[in-house]
Amino acid sequence: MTLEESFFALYKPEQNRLYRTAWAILGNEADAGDALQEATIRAFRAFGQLKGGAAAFPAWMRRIVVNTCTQILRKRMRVIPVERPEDLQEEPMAPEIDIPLGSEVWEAVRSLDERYRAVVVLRFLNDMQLEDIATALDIPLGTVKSRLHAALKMLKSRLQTADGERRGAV
Amino acid sequence: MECEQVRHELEAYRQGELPPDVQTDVKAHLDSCSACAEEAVAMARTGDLLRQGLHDWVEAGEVPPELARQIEIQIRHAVRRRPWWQNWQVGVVAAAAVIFLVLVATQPDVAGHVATVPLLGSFAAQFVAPGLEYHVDAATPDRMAGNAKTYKLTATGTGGGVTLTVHRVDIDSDQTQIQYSLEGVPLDTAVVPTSYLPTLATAAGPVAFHGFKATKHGDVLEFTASFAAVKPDEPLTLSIAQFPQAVAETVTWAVPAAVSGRVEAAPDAYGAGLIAWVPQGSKVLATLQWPEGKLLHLTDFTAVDAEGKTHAVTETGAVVSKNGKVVQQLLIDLPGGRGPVTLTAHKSIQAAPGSVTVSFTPAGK
Repeated sequence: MTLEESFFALYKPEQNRLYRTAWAILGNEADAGDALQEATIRAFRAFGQLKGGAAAFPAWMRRIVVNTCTQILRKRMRVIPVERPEDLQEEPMAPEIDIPLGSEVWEAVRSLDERYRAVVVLRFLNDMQLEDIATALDIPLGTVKSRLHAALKMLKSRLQTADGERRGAV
Repeated sequence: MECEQVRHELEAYRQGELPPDVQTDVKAHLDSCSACAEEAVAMARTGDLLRQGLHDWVEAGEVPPELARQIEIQIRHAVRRRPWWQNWQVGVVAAAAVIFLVLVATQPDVAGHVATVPLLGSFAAQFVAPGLEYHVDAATPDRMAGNAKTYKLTATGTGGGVTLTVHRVDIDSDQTQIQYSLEGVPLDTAVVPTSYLPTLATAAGPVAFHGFKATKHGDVLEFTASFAAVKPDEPLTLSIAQFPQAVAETVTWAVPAAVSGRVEAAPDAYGAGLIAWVPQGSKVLATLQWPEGKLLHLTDFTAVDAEGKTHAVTETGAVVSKNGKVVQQLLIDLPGGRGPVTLTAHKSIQAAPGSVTVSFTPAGK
């Protein structure tokens, strides 16, 4: 098996998950695609140095994707949009009946402003410690805490209503 | 602890991420404040829903087939071909990292230049409007449209064992282009051409240099250099200076005052670039521009002069996105530097193959 084949054998089963992880962090599919490409090439170049074999691959690969995404976020937060009117519109929630819970949660999370969304995703999807989030996004720990608190308050009523309805329906 | 303060700490408290004394304080507060205790339960429930929901959503994902194909192609491509930047830049990780070098010469005039840098063929090829003779063997001006003129000539001069021959000069309203060759340059290393830099001067002083390309034919180096426009009949002096330290072969990019240079690989040439002549002890403002979506950010800048001395590069202000272009500005401080200064961006974030336009303007003392 060539290096390339060994890489793909480990990478392919993770790819879907990695893509959505990048999407969740960055908030849109286009950036997620770019980040995944960049992260995959980075990973491939460093693949020879991976210690711990196949078992270590998923976490290692995921870390590279998350790092690539937070790097992009950090820089993006420094870019001041001068003209981006369309970005500011929130997508209305479609009243679907059979949306799985995951989609509902994601719809709620994606409607958050980027500053809040990033913190929520890094915390609850990537299980990062608050201090690590502060480092990754290059913001003070206090800011992480206040953003997280504000985001949870925003999400609370929305999610618990949906949750309550589902429980009532069962 | 105040209620508001406690509420900000709830998530950290739940996972035991607070320092022990704060953890104890929050617990004591929750034991005595029912409102905060209720809030803590609600937040924990919300956190659990988020965790579960986001994980479910990620598990249900599918990468678009086109993206998967693209990634596969890139990996296979990476196997077959080492990209050019890997040949000289160690530690660059981004897939299509844009790394560029900019030469900024810090000598204000040719006279100072002659005095401080070993020159080859200094004033060796002097060619002026037809009718005057220096080392010009033949000059055939062809009048072209408007003020544009082409001179075909053979003007030679030697210095330091190197013969400089000028073959052709094209002058139009946008630029002055000069074709010349160097013979006798030691060709033992590939980086040689970029250490021989041309200066074009009129009686008023140096003309802004836009860039040059070099190709090797046997032991002769052939150059095409571009400068700012001059008056068609103005006397011109071309000097070639040898800088003590050559710069990297593939990407030598230099930008003169108020002129933009496109940064891209020049695989069939030794290099191309633009040079700004700025007074010693001054500052230069570099403006980098690239299309939105191609490249998010360039970072880790260094400016090193020919003597290996590092000069300060400051990223000024925010990176601004406007009209589809992202603009970033750098201030390079050149306190008494000498020779070409190499500005390098060592890292780029999420770059797609493309180009960065760099323009330089003097920023005063």
